[in-house]
Amino acid sequence: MATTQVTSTRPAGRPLRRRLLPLYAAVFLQNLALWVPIEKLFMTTIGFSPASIGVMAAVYAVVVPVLEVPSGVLADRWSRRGVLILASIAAILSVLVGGLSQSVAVYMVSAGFLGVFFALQSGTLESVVYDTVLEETGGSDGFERTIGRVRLVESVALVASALAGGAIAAVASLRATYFLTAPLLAGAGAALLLFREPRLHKAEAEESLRRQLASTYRTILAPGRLRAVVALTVAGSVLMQGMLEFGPLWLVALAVPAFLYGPHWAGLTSALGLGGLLGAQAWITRPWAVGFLAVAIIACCVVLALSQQALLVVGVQVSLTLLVVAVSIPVLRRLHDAVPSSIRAGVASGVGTLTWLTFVPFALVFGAVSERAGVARAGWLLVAIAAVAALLLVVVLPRAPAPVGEAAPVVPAPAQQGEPVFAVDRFVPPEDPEWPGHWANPPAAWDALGVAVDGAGALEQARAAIAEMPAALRKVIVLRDVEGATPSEVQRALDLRPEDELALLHQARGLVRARLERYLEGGGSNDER
Amino acid sequence: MNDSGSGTDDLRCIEFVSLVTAYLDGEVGEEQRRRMDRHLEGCRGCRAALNQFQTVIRLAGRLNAADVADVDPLIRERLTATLRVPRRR
Repeated sequence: MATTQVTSTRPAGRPLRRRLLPLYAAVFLQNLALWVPIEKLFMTTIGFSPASIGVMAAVYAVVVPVLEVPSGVLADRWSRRGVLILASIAAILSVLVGGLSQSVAVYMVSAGFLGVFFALQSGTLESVVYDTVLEETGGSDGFERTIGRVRLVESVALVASALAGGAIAAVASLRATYFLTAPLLAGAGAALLLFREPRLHKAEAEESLRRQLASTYRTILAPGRLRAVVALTVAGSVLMQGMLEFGPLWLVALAVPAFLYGPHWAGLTSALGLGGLLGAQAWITRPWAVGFLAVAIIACCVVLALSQQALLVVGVQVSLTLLVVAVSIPVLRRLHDAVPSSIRAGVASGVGTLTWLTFVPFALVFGAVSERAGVARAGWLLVAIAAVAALLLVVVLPRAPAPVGEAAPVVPAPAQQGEPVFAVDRFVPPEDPEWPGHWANPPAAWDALGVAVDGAGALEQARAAIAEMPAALRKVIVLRDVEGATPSEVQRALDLRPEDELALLHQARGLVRARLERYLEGGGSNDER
Repeated sequence: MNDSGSGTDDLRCIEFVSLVTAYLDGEVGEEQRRRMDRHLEGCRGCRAALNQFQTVIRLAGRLNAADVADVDPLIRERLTATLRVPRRR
């Protein structure tokens, strides 16, 4: 897909916004799920126990990833808008069956329809927005802003429906929340009919699907640093999913009145949005922040395992969700940087599937333990996962303090600041009478080290070094050395003075050099520490 | 211990490496280039440093822009979506 790095495209203007209006309306209506905040309460009234809730969650977690692939193919081959309309229909069936159900078995059918809804909807919406932006503006630059608006609409709808659903349940009945959701979903379907679908379908991935899948899973499961990042992503998702799926069980256990379920759910869903904002802050990967987050996540889970106080439990659940979402943002960035572009999309959906599948045993065990010993006891399961996540967090997240061994004080050279490309302690000190400023620890000839300097391993190190360096450096080295632009082209494109362009390029190449040196002198091992 | 083995040129190694990119870009003056060439002849460490930079450039040239691009927004959405799975309820 075409993202533009340097050249900017026309801003996404009014035609785009007007065209997307029906889509915004559909998203709003589709997310007004009035029944969601009281679902667990309702389920207990028709005979669900914690264990059968766990089974239902597990069944759901199997169904969704299985359906996701065919629904993606359907969206690409037939119509994205059509798939979104089908999703609305599945959701309507789900709430009608759910509202009418008097037994566990019937409610399982409702959950199945909900699974169909989710599989059809997820991914399709993002693609529709992406293609519409591309079609209207000729570039993908406006995508982020536009999808940000979609997420905002979603959050507003989720919070509004959480509060409204709790109130409706308190004054009318739990079932009423299901039935009142149906006309809203029908409205979403109608709004979609008004939306003009983009015709830019990308049918790129299909021919080599199997090969792509193979390399994707090889990448995800291969030993090395990526494994820790993937494990952390999965652990974080399970914590969050666990909170949203089983969090209300704490309220059921503490016999909290129905109207409080609304604010509880509103708190959880707004934590999803706020956590995203928090996660975008640069300081979040500082060692002190990572340490704090790791401890706080464990502490929240411990409180859930011990506390009997409804308000404290609600507060801690909201905080836990917020913190987990916040750390997930830089973790996703690590995941992104760790894989080559050709399989990034595959890795994204592969990790998604892995998350669902990991959730299956978690849901079953959590449900079973809740049933036997109470939901607070089951909270210790969360503590265990939080401990694993915290450990991985400390390993994966802290931003390495520049390349190791290159952090010595700076000797400013002509037209150049920043860190030296070779650490100062590799040279004889300037006060030395004989060899001041000459090599004390000279660099080795790489081709004599016995590791292929031009091999795939070295190439991967170079790629990772460039992907992970600060944007200011990356832009210059990508244009100059990856794309082969001339110095003057780069100076113009990035609005840099010649001496600054040179200094940034020198610095950037120095970072790649330092990483390659560690790799090659380490005998070609992947460990970058 | 010293590998530079050169006393005939007036350029220090620390200075040489700070100019490597300018040297490779042809951005150093005539006189400076001659100094650097002279230095290279006698200094194995700086020759290795220069070779390392050339390796970096060669490897970078074998990559494509997408490999090292900033986070693609659609991919980021898909990645974030893996965390949004529980949203269904």
